[in-house]
Amino acid sequence: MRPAFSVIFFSVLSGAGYGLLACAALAALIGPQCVPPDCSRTVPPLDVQAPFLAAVVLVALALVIAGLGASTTHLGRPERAWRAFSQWRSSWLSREGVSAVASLVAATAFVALLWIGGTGLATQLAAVASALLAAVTVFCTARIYTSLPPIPAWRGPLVLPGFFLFAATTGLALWVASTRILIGSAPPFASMSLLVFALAAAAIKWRYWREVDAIAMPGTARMTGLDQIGEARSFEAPHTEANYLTREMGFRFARRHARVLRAAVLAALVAVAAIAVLALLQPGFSPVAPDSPFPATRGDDALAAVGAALLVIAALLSLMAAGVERWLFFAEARHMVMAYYEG
Amino acid sequence: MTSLPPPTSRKLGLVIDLDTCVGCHACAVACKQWNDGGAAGPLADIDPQGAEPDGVWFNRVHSYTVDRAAGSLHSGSTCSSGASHDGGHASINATGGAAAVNPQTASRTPMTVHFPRSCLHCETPACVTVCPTGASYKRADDGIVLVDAEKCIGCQLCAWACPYGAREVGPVLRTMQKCTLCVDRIYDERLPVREREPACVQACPTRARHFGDLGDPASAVSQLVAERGGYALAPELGYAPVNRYLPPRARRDGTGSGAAVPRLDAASTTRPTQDEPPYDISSLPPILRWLERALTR
Amino acid sequence: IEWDEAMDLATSWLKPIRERNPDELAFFTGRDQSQALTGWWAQQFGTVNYAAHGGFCSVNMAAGGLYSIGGSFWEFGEPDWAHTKYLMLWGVAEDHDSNPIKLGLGQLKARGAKIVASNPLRTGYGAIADEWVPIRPGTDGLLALALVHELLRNDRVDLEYLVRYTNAHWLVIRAPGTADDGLFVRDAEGRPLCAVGRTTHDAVRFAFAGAPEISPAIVGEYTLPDGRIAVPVFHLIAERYLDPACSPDAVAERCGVSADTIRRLAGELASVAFDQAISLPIAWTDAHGREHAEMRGRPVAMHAMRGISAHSNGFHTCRALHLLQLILGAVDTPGSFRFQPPYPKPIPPPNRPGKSRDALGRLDAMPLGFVHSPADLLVTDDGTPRRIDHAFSWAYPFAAHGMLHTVIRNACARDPYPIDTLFLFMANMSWNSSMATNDTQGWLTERDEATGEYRIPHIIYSDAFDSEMVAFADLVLPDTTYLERYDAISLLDRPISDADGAADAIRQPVFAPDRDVRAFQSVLLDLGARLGLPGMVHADGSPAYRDFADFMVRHERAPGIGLLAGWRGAEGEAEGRGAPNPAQLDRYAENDCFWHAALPAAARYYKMANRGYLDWAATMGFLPAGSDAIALQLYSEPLQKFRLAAQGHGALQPPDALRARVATHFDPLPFWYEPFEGAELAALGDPDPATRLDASCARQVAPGHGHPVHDVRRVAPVARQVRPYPLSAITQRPMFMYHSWGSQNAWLRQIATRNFLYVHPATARSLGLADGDEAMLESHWGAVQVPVAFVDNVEPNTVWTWNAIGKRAGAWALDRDSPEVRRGFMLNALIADVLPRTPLANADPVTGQAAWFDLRVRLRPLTGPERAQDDADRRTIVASEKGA
Ligand SMILES: Nc1nc2c(c(=O)[nH]1)N[C@H]1C(S)=C(S)[C@@H](COP(=O)(O)OP(=O)(O)OC[C@H]3O[C@@H](n4cnc5c(=O)[nH]c(N)nc54)[C@H](O)[C@@H]3O)O[C@H]1N2
Ligand SMILES: Nc1nc2c(c(=O)[nH]1)N[C@H]1C(S)=C(S)[C@@H](COP(=O)(O)OP(=O)(O)OC[C@H]3O[C@@H](n4cnc5c(=O)[nH]c(N)nc54)[C@H](O)[C@@H]3O)O[C@H]1N2
Ligand code: SF4
Ligand code: SF4
Ligand code: SF4
Ligand code: SF4
Ligand code: SF4
Ligand SMILES: [Mo]
Repeated sequence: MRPAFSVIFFSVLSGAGYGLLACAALAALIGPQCVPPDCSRTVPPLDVQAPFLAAVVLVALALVIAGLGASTTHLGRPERAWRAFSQWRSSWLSREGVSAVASLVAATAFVALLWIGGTGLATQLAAVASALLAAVTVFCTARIYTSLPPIPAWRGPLVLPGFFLFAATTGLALWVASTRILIGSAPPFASMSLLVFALAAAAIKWRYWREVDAIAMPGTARMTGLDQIGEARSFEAPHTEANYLTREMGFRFARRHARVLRAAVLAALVAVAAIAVLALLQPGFSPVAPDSPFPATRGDDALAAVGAALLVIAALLSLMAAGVERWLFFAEARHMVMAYYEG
Repeated sequence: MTSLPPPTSRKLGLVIDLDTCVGCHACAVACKQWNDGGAAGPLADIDPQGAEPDGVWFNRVHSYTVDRAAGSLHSGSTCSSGASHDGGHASINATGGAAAVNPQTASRTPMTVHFPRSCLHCETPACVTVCPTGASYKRADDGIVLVDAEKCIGCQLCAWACPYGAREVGPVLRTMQKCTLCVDRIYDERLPVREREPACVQACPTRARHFGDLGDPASAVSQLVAERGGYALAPELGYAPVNRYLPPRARRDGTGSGAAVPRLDAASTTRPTQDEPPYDISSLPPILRWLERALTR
Repeated sequence: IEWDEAMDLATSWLKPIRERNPDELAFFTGRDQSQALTGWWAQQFGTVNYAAHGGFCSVNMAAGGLYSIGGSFWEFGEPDWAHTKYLMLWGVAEDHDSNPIKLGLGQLKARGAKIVASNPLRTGYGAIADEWVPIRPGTDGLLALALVHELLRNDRVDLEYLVRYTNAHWLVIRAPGTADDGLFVRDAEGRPLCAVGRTTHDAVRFAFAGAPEISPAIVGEYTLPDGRIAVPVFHLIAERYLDPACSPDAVAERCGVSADTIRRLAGELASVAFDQAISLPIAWTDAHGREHAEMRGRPVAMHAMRGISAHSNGFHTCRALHLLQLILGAVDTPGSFRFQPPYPKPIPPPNRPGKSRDALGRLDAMPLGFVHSPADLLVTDDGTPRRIDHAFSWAYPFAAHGMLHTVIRNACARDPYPIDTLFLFMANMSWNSSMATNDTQGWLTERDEATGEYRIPHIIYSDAFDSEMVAFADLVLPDTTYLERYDAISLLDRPISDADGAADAIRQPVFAPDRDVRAFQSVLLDLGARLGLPGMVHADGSPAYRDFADFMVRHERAPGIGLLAGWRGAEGEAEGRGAPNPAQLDRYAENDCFWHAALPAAARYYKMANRGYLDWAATMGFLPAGSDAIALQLYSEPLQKFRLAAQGHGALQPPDALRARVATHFDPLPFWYEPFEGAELAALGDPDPATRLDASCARQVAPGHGHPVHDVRRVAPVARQVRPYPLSAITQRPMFMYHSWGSQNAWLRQIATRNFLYVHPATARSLGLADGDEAMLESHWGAVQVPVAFVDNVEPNTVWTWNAIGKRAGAWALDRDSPEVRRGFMLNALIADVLPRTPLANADPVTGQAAWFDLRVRLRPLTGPERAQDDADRRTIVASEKGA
């Protein structure tokens, strides 16, 4: 399948946005209790966090909106995009749209409540809704792909977890970096999660690629029914130049390039995990929270800057990994229609 | 509407005879011509005089070569008597490069099969259910799968969802386009009855294309399908295509099956003029055997 | 320039020519359907140098048929689609009757008739055939004659048919060395004789072979009253084709078809023709007035086209196919090949090529026609050709359609004389319809070294599009397209009849042109009037015809006969013959532009000897009234007359250098010989660069040079040896494109803009080529870079590609980086217009038909530097290789 940048941008950015949104929502809900070893001391209570959370949610919203914006450029008729909400009963794309809009509403409410300093139930409900809708939207996005029988590479059981893991990894990487930079310390639980998700994403992709490599596409003879006679080879295509189908579904690129790109994704994810370990060991120090309890960084501005920079790099690496992964997700997926042309 | 209608009793569709199609592209061109000016048009032409000419077509004709597997219906089990390039490849030699043709593989001649491909108007197609706008729909009364150009946002998901490559987008409409089964012909009361048929069916010079109701077992197309073992493309994908393809018939080429035509020697005692006794070929000088033949003008 | 200026210019060139020497105008037209006008125009102008495209297209089919059965394959006959049970297609990809053929094939398929395709490759029609016979190019004659051998050997021959409808029983004089050897025995009135009576007793008498109710002998030697010996034609046939050299075993290897397959095919033909004979319950009357209750038929049909004709042995191969049909009794019977009126015609047709001019400067007949004997040739006393294309000369005596493929070289070489103006219409002669394309482009622009003038001083060209040829013309007459003008699809030209009736048609303008173009036919009449040509001006010098539409209605070729046969007579009451009808075009318009006169049911078969048909044809003006049966000619006496001349008999004899060539190839019975290009290359190797004819037309050696004589009497395969060009290369028409002009259609371009060289994988791999590789394809004449595509539906010694896809940069309004220009290629630059060693056209020695498919090539991977070349330079490679 042709890796369309609009769709890659969309799914990577919106995935990251939703991941980040979910982190913010969870932090709003459970932040005070959860950062070891001494929650009460290291993490400011919600009212202290609120401006920070609001900022993060705004970033998340920006990512989601940018992604959605990118995705509409994939449409032939973006001006009619609103029509896409109508078929939520059957179409995952429609569901994704509905869910995305709902998530935007929830996130906007969330950010507004945070802005006005809300800490009560309403804010918590908005947080819950945002997190849930973020997950639902990512789920719908993944289901769009898994519901396409002609593209076996997208049908496997690892596609859905893959989408979640990349949304989570990129979201967490952004979250860890933002907490580190904006409030001085990366919550170890988040870093721990980043470590786990990054490695899980790597593992899942590793498995996924092995599965994809093993897929046997139906051949020309099968797709034409000529297999009842024998082996079929294409003699002449209906057109000598490229057409919509061959461009859209017939994208092919060299296996050795794929290997390099796959390795790059895995390496990036491992690097992210490694940085997450560092973040765990040295959750942070920043001017915002000068009394951070962790001695390693205390008072050491240079080291703190390096730590923060590393986390920014981790966020970028995760996005890059997701981008390349998504590119490969398309580029390596083969559409059955090509059996009519190839072979 | 994107949800599929309940199973339709009328299933209009095409039956394409791969035994008879010569691959002339007339159906493809006629389709383009009709639909370009019709309700589903225009069908874009991109870079018409240039380096990368392209365009939207609803019907495209492929050609394949098919190696007849031993034992398949289409060839006999004994292949030794097939038209072979017996030894003659020796005429190709080192100066020009030798084509050492393996007589084994050459003896059962490959087939060439032309294969027109258009929408199959599937009964349970994902191209309809994936559509977010309801633009892609299947008609409840005759099963025709259509795109409503007014609703379509050109997201291309339905094209991705079609295993048969029946959907294309062009830069003019920027919406999805596909075979309409010539819905703007087949119900057009202004046309004479015999012309209320898809343009491609009308254009096919070998009459390899047939149109009708495949939901009605008594219809001519259904009977043709029954007679000729018509099949659906890749039914295992679950789309339940309505269109059927008629497989190439067994080739009567001396490699085995098929209604064989008698051999010369077997029948050599029956001479064209039955009123005279047969000659024993070996007993007379070959020419003089006609000496006594009484012929009348 | 403006039209007036253009017409003045053309007039200023042509007027002096007509006064000086009309032959200095060479007027050659292409695949138009205007020959009824253009041929007549040339006749009025008085030039012998006129022809249409048939000489490079399929004159072997036309002549092979018209000298044998009075009709032909091509578009002038058809299988009995409704009744045939067995159809053999010989070298047919598409043909002119392409839609009727496709319809018919669909019908056959539906009825379960067997279809066999003899073709080196399997596409299109062959794809749906039951059986593909992957024959080697140029060897169908061997296959056909081996089938004849088998049928004779097994006595599966329709002798009744042969004596009734053919010359099988006609007596041939056997007197080697004498002037009448091989001629028919004739009575005092010139009627052919046969032997009748109990042949082993002394009661033998000789009777008019055309008489009814006789019992002719078909074998045996007979002593004529004057003491000469004679044998029936069938005797000669049996003698020749029963020879083991014609047996399946002898030919299998050369044909690439196993002997078993040949025997099986013969068996199938016989079985269908004889054991499954059919009969239609239609009463009919034969030429002798005898009534028959039914029409018996041999349901074996054949159709053949350029796979047979575009070889230098095509004429005889075509005759071999007719021989095969005839011994099966399968010509114009139910279920077999059928004539389309106005065929059959007398054999050969009576009209001979025009030779001399009358007081008004007109030729005595149309320039094209049928040569019956050496007296009909257009040669000077010393045997030099009188036509610029050398048609009807000793080198190509039966060139009934002229030789468009030799005109440009000869005009440039001033061989046999200089011409002043080359006038071309609707033929892309600098591109896809020329051989040696690159050189042809050079000849079109070559200048005389001494004077600096163009060797072809004036070139006038009419085209409707911006084809490659336009750039080479001094004066272009932009034509309308056929949607913008009147045309006549006339019975006088290339009829569109079917076997059940005669038909013609008109085209009328569907829209008005939006450019400054004029219908060529009208322009030609205008030009004729400006030149004051007879028949084109009134006595006062004013134009006789307003335009072509007026001509279509009012012109009479013979009294009552005009371009259109329908709705003649003042009231439109007459068909075929009748006075011009001023409202004729309206009648056509009311009838979808077609006129069709159905044959009475009783006249639809056995047309050569069917009283109903012969009389009907006479009323239509196709045959003289009261015509006798037309005896189909297994044995061709006109051929024998040329052979006799070559053997030194008669006043008119070929130049010595051509004696052997004529003697060999004017065999009165069909035979097979190696196609020339391959034979010369195999026997003599690559042409020696020093003696090789190079790109300059002027170095063409004058004709008269000998032709290496292949031992042709026996169908013996040429000895195997190291062949520098081991592969045959052929082209096919793609069904969706019409020659070069498909590429200006946006939709057709969306199907194909480039072509590939199709190669059998085994062949390609042995050459070190992979699917998709670029490779160099070389002939003895030129080379072209090609993309290789693997296909296994091709005979492994043959490579092929689609015809006329490649385009010249700048033509056809295509962008210069179009795939047609950058990627497409043609074989034409590789196809030499002359033979490798003999300075004669690469053509059939009987008809002059261009031997496109004799092309021999080798294929090799590109070398490093070549590979580095940009694709855009592909044609440069061709040129430089040639120059080297
Ligand atoms: N290699 C190879 N070469 C071949 C052949 C082959 O099989 N292989 N086949 C040969 C044969 S059989 C043929 S017939 C020739 C065909 O060769 P051409 O006769 O040259 O074929 P076309 O490309 O049809 O070109 C005819 C010209 O007529 C012009 N034209 C079209 N319509 C009109 C019109 O209405 N009026 C005028 N004035 N001009 C018009 C076109 O623009 C074009 O320039 O090619 C021959 N060349
Ligand atoms: N679509 C379309 N139709 C056309 C035309 C066109 O350009 N396009 N052109 C028209 C014209 S001008 C003509 S002359 C006719 C020509 O009509 P065809 O004669 O059908 O045309 P070709 O394409 O030359 O096909 C020749 C066939 O002979 C085969 N062949 C070559 N050599 C041999 C051989 O030695 N033996 C045998 N058995 N087969 C051989 C080739 O593989 C090919 O299949 O078509 C007419 N119809
Ligand atoms: S062929 Fe494709 S477009 Fe047509 S109904 Fe089936 S899935 Fe849909
Ligand atoms: S491209 Fe149009 S028809 Fe296809 S799924 Fe999208 S909106 Fe529906
Ligand atoms: S049915 Fe109509 S729209 Fe469909 S392929 Fe045929 S001509 Fe085209
Ligand atoms: S028109 Fe008929 S014969 Fe021609 S490609 Fe289409 S289906 Fe085949
Ligand atoms: S080009 Fe014209 S004549 Fe030839 S098949 Fe097509 S419609 Fe018929
Ligand atoms: Mo032709």
